[in-house]
Amino acid sequence: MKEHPPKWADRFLKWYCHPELLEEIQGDAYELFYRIAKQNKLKAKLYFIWNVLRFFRLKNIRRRSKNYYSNIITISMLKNYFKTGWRNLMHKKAFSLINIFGLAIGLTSFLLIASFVYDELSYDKYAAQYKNIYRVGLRFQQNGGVDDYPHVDVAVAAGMKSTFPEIIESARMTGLLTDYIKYEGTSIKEEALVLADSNILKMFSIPLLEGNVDNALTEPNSIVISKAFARKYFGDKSPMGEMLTFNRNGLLKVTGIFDKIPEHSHFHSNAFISLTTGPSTTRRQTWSNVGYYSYLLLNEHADAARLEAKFPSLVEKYVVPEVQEDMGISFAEAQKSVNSWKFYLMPISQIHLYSHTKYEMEPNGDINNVYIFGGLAIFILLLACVNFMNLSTASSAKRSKEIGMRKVLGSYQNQLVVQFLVESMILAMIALTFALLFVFALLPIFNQLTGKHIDLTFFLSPQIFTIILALGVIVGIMAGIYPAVFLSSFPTLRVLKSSSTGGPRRGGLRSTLVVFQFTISTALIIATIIAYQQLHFMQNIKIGYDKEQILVIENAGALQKNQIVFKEKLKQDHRVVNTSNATIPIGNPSSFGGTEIAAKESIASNIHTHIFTMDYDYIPTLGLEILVGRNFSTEFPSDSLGTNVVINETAMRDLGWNKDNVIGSTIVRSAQVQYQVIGVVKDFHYTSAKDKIAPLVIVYRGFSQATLVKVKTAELTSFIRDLSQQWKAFNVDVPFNYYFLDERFNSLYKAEQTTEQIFMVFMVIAVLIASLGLYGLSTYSAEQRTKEIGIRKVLGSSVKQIVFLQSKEFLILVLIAIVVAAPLSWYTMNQWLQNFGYRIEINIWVILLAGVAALVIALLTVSFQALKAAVNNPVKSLRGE
Amino acid sequence: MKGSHIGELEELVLLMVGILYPEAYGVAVMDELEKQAGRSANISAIHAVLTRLEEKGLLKSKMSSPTEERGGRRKRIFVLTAAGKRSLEETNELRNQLFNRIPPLALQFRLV
Repeated sequence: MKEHPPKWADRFLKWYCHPELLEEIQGDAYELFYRIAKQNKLKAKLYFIWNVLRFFRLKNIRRRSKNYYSNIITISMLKNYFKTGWRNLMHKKAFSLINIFGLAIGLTSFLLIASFVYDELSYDKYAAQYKNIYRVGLRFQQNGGVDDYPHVDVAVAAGMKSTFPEIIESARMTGLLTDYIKYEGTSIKEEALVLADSNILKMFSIPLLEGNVDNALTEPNSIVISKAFARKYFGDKSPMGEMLTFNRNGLLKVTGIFDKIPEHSHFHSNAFISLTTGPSTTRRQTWSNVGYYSYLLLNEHADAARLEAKFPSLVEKYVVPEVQEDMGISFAEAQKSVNSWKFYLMPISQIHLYSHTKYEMEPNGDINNVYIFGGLAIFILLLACVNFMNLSTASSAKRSKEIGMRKVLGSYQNQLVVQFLVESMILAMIALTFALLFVFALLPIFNQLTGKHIDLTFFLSPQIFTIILALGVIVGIMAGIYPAVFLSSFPTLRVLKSSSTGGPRRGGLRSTLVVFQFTISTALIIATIIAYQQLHFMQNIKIGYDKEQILVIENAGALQKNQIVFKEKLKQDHRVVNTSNATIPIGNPSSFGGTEIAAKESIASNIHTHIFTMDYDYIPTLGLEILVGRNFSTEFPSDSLGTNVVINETAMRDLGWNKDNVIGSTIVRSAQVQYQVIGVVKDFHYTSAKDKIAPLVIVYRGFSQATLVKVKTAELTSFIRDLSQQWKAFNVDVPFNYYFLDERFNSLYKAEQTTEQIFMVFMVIAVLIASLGLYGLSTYSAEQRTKEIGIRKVLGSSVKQIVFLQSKEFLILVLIAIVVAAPLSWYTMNQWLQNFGYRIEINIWVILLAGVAALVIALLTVSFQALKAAVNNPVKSLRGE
Repeated sequence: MKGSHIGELEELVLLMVGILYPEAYGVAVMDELEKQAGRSANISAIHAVLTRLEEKGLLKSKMSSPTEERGGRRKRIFVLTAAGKRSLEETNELRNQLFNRIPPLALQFRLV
């Protein structure tokens, strides 16, 4: 047995050595090796390694010097690549179509989602100094959780500015108000009014088309309006100096016009009213409440974190004495009750994605959504690329002759790689063209689904378009590089000699890719089912009152005292079951008024509750259940004084009472305001089931926010006409607006509906792409095994056996995918469900169902080809030999 | 300029190629160098010198027929070119000339 030098060293030598020099160098090294090996094998080996290492010098290293590789990619060669590439596409049209279509779908979803992500990331960057503008928020611990407010009390902004020199400017703004604005007989409900400090426009760099930015909002009763707002009231006439009637604060003078608040802003008000118009300047300048969105402009060098660290001193200085005074408690108790108070700063550019308090000015986005969607987009694109890789490598058999021929005629491997990359680039570019067409077609639906306003022009702007083109190239390379390297590595002789498939079989990677695709598909199926279940669960949760047939007259509060008369009149109508003036029992947590209260026995541990108002008929109208105690009643005259309250079960629990001792207990709101509990209602959902039911205190008031009417009639239209007649009889400026409670109830779940729809869309896309890929693969597998199947049939196999034989290997892959996907999606969806106050448990059958669905889809895809191959007449398939 | 001057090792290798004619290739040159001049050099160094000399035009090479001792690989056989021969002659001549010009006195060593 002859001794051999170490293989790895030899391989290393082959790898680095210039092909021209390899023979002599290797020859000398071998000669020396054999010579020494006669005496000492180990020494020979070591010496060989040493030599190999010593030969590793610049002169001997393989390189692409001009002499050997000039003109590898000439124009004429590229032309040839295009030509063969194109012929190849045309030669197998169905296959190319699957390839292009799959890639186009992937690219379409990627482009759409990328535009969504880009859009989400570009919020609140329009202000010139946005990097230095921060919003002050307030966090404290309460009821075992953390309460987070994006707004603070009236005095906080100015107080901070005067204390810390690094704050250059401070500005405040109220939340978006809804109210009626009247001008010469037209009265319109405006939903996006804010009261704001005079410097707010400058801070957010909102230019005025007319008027002076510096003092437009200085005077009380000034209003700065948007262009669209102005057009509504004044048409083409100039609105400057005109007077508008504002329901709550009298006349407002128009002192400025701005175009509009940029799309990417965390607030979109149509009009700014000077803050001095409201009570903010005349009222006590307090620190311990909330309600004013406050913004600080820091100087260039200020460090927000360091500034934040100084805020606790303000709590000590301002908040503690105030709480002490308001609650009538000792200093130490006051200190204890606010010891978790923390003012914090949030950069405005982060508000949209990172601020998730219940009291945002507008619903914000979520950075998690950005991550999830971004991830999904990349996954789907990957899936499409994987398809491409799979189909190309699978079809390699057909190309092996061509590759062999090219090699014989002098192609280097790199040239072949370039050739295949050119081909995949052609495909990618065609797919990209289709994708852009799809994007244009789908954009309206996409905008509707996501609530965005992304324009076609966004995709066609030079920058974005360049990026898109680059994306096409990258996808082409990504999808093409593996097939290119794989195909070009076929040994020349073997591919030319053997009649059927050429090249090494590398089913391993292909299988992995199929598993990858089906893992994602199955996971998305599971996610979709769970999202659907949760949505269904929330929409059908027992809300605790009867929402059917209840008409809400949403602005009945404008009737003021007349609301009571209006209600009494309605009560006489035979079509009305019951009616009540009260708070509308539906909305966001932030849309209800709230306050801090405490049980009299333990005054220091206060809780935050919502406050509703109602008259005697609220509980019967809604069909609320009384747990203990009684409703407000005319039999108890003291009820109408407003010192008796009804609370909900949660409030009872949170205040530390139970059924037996709650009636007659005292609630302290502040030193001046105390309530007696006369009844407890069972918990009912007045917000979406996403939120836990919060503590609720209901006070008596004859006239309230709205009038609720429970109707029983088949002729709603005539009833509503009558109602509107009666409304007009009161001669109010406010128009008659109404809706049905159950309709509004369903709209609470818009966000979840969108999530579910998005999952659904992704699922369909992923399944589609995976099926396309599987279809292509099974086609090839069937084609390659034509002879085998023919022989099997001749020898007596049944169609069933043959179909099973062909489907088996794919089904095993899908099964593996299901096993991988199940825990993955279970974990992720469980995390998602944690967002909901009331949620479903994930059932094992959901995962089973998804698994079966994936299997069935795979089976259908595969068996189509398998069946076609199996029923083929064996004479045909065997004749060719 | 390249080719106008050769170093000491280069000169030795050139001589060895001449001596070994017509069987001068890497390993043989290395062995001969050790045997004749007592200089041991790594095979890779020999290769480097041989290629350098070839680039300078002092040697030319061709591949031999395959031999068994090298696992069927061919050898690259080097032979002197005319320029190589001239270069050897020139250095040889120069040495002799210079040696002859050393005054005899300088070469007389006596015990003092």
